[in-house]
Amino acid sequence: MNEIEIPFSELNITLADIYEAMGYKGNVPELEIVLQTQELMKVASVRVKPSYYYRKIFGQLVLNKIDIEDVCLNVGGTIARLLKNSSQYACFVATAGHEFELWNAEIRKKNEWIEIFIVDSIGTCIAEKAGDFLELQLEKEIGNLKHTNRFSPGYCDWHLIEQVKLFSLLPLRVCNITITESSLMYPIKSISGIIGIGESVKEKVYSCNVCKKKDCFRRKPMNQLKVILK
Amino acid sequence: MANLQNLYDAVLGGNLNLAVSTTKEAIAEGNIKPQEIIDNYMIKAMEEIGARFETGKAFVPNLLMSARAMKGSLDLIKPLLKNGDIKPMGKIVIGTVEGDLHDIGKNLVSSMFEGCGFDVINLGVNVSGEKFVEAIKEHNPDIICMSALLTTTMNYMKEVISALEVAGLRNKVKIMVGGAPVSQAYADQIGADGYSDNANAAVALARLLLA
Repeated sequence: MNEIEIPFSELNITLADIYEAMGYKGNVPELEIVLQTQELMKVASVRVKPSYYYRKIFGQLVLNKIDIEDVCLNVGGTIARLLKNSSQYACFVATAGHEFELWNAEIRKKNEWIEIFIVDSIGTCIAEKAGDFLELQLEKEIGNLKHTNRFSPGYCDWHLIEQVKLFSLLPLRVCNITITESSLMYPIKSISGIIGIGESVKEKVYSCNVCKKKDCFRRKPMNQLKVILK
Repeated sequence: MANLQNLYDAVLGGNLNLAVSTTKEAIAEGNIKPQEIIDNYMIKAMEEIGARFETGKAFVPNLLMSARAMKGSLDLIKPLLKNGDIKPMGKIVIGTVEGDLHDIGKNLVSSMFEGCGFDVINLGVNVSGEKFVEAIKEHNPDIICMSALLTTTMNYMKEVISALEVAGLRNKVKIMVGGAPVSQAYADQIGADGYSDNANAAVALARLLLA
């Protein structure tokens, strides 16, 4: 498949999503923040061009590693357990895109930290929602097969330097994303990773309950975590 | 007569306009020393918003709004302070280390430092050890703050500390570190003087290090 641009409206980003990304944890922000967020979301909806790409590849999980084509992804024990029974892997990227980075750069020049923080949070939401959108498209494509959650280098025991190997499985400059020597994606508001596909894989509670960063401000209580057993 | 409780409320609530107008009124009347306005109302309000943040009753935007209000007032008051009156909070050089382009967290910390009366030299992102050394020589800061958001870049913090040691500057500054993959244990391991995991705690730590 080719990389796909996502219409902003189809990301279904709500103001509550942005407030959550800003750390409000279900609380309602002050009117100033609400009004500013609404205005900035209007700008984002016009300017930002998110996109995604994924490629399904047959692979074999052996202990903590996945052999895909001529690449061996060392995803670590935690993620390997969650990928159990996968026969294919969707290697993906999703990004808020360069248009977001340009807008973000303009905002930063104004030195207004509240606005900068809101725009940064919007960018985070766009990248994550682009990932959600990608997952929905994958679901449509795989039909009766099931899929796991998405897993990314830098999380759990999957070291960030593995990003280079993951990108070697994707077209060069896919979605116009490049990676730096330190394995950082640019545009920064981008996500990458793999999704396991198979007849009997499960989408489980993943991120927060297995993550070691207990003081993360994004950490969700167990009762808010999505549990979908397919 | 200026109601300085309004100034406290304005900084606490992040109301820039009220903070500025009340400060102007107080300055025009001249009944209270500028340093007393800072100590008894503005810093007290920042301490309260910080306490609320630590207990989950306020959020990052609240910190930023309060810092903005405080800075608005401080900008009016600072020119009135005679050299002998000034109680310097401290000078800070801050930057995201080489290889890393993330700056939102570092900038939030920078903004809080400024709002709380510190002088801040923000070096930006992708800052080499050499640049930190140059900045220390040029600005003579009390503290340098390093930020990293990646496991692949956090190790550069150690290189910066080594660069400071080689330049004979290590003992002239306190070193604070922060960022998602960084921890107190890591700070101890690389020989930093302190670690904080949020902007409010960073200000408290800086005050502690300079006490």
